[in-house]
Amino acid sequence: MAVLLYLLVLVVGVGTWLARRARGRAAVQGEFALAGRSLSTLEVAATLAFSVLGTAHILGVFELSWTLGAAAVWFSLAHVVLLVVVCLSTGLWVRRLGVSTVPEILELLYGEKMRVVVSCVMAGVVTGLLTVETQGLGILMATMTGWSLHQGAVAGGLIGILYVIVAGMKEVGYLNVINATVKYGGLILATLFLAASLPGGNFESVRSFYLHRGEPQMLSIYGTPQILLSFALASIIAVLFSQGISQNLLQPAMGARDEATIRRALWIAAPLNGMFGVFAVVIGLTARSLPQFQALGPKVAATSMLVALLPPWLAALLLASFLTAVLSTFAMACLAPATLFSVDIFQRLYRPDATEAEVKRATRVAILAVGGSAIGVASALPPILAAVNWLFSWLVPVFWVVVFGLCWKRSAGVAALTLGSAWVVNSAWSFTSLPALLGVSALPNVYVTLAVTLAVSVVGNACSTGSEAYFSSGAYRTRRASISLRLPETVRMTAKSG
Amino acid sequence: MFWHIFIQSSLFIAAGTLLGGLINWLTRGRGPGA
Repeated sequence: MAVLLYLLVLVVGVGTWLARRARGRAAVQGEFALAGRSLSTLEVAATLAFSVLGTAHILGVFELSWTLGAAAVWFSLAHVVLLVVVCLSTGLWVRRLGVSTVPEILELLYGEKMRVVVSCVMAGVVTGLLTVETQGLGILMATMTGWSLHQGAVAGGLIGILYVIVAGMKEVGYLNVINATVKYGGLILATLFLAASLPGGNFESVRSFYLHRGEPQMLSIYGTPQILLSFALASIIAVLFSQGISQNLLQPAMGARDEATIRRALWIAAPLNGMFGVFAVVIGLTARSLPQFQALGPKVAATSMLVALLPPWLAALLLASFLTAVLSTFAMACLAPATLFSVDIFQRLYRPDATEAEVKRATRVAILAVGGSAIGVASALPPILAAVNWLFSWLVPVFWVVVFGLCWKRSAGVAALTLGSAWVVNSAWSFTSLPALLGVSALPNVYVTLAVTLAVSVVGNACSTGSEAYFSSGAYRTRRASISLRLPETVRMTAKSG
Repeated sequence: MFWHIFIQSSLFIAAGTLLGGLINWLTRGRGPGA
């Protein structure tokens, strides 16, 4: 209960303080969804790192380490690769283009229809992710309080909505910076106490367990060559090409003060996300080595072990650390589809002259609708995790259509064909017996979708005349000039304080 | 065991971040659309 109280006070306190502070100033465009493009290096870094660090990093890695051993950390390391690429390319580009949503780039490249289609697909994908996070919140809340999973999901979901609805992106940024300390403090202390509670006061007994079983590969992140190929590489490809263009990850980059802020954020974001997996893997490996928890199976062994072996105050701190990790992902997964709705649908199609206050209201309503529906769906516990593979592959063609359009060639026909064929094949791979017919049932959706995307878009662009790359076009130069003429909020604030 | 996994992962993260930082530095003010 102390953990819940801490979260509630923090979330409401920071949100109210930021909202009150903003009240005195004239609203700038993107004030709510993009923090008025004023996020600092620390806020961008923490929000980039924690937008893609959620349930899968905790409960998923606990479970994976059971079968893959230390190599399960590649799920985390794949996110390091993702963050490096985002801070070097897509993150910089969205800031450079001055867009508020990823589908807005699709309109610049290929026209309005493409924007609306991609916006709807992306909102669906991120909402699917949100449902997974809500289930994670439910499980963690239930472990902490003894409530039912349903009650846990409702309570967790409500705190998650409060994490973002009061002051938007600025609130998420502030809370993420504050909670970074709780996350790592809890993890480091828990690892120390866990080691102390083992025979010899260290992890030597865990190491001996795997060596005696003849499984030394479980103790190395390089596992076996087969694990590296089938898991590490697959994780990197899946995470990079689906999340690398996703609204929930790129929105903090859009809200950054400038491009240099995103470049600097890399130094903090990559280790902040990557190191989390090390602790999760060690906890998972330890749980499997202890007979009393091994008997519980991979799904609940690690959390049961933590509750049983750690002193109650530390177990609570660690659960708070896990909760804040899931809450930060939940908040961005709520804000992203809500922004897609308010900017790409509400403002673009129905109210082009909407004021910031109207867009903010639409975003808030959408946050409530998206968050509320995720709570409703998650309480029913559908097998969403099984759908993640299918769900995330939808964004793979979007990544390449954007990259090629910005840097190589633009052809609306080829882009539509690429998206259409990749989406059809992805769905056929999940819902028909096509993989079995081809004798490759084990091949993940992301590989197939990537192959179709690259084949169609490379051949299509090579054969079509198309227009020049957007970055080489006159339209881009005009846009760039008009963006630089608009005085950024930070400059205005600096001028005011000076 | 902890330190072994910690060091292996840290090396990968450090290598990835440093490589990214180096590319960042080399391409500052350049790259597509810069």
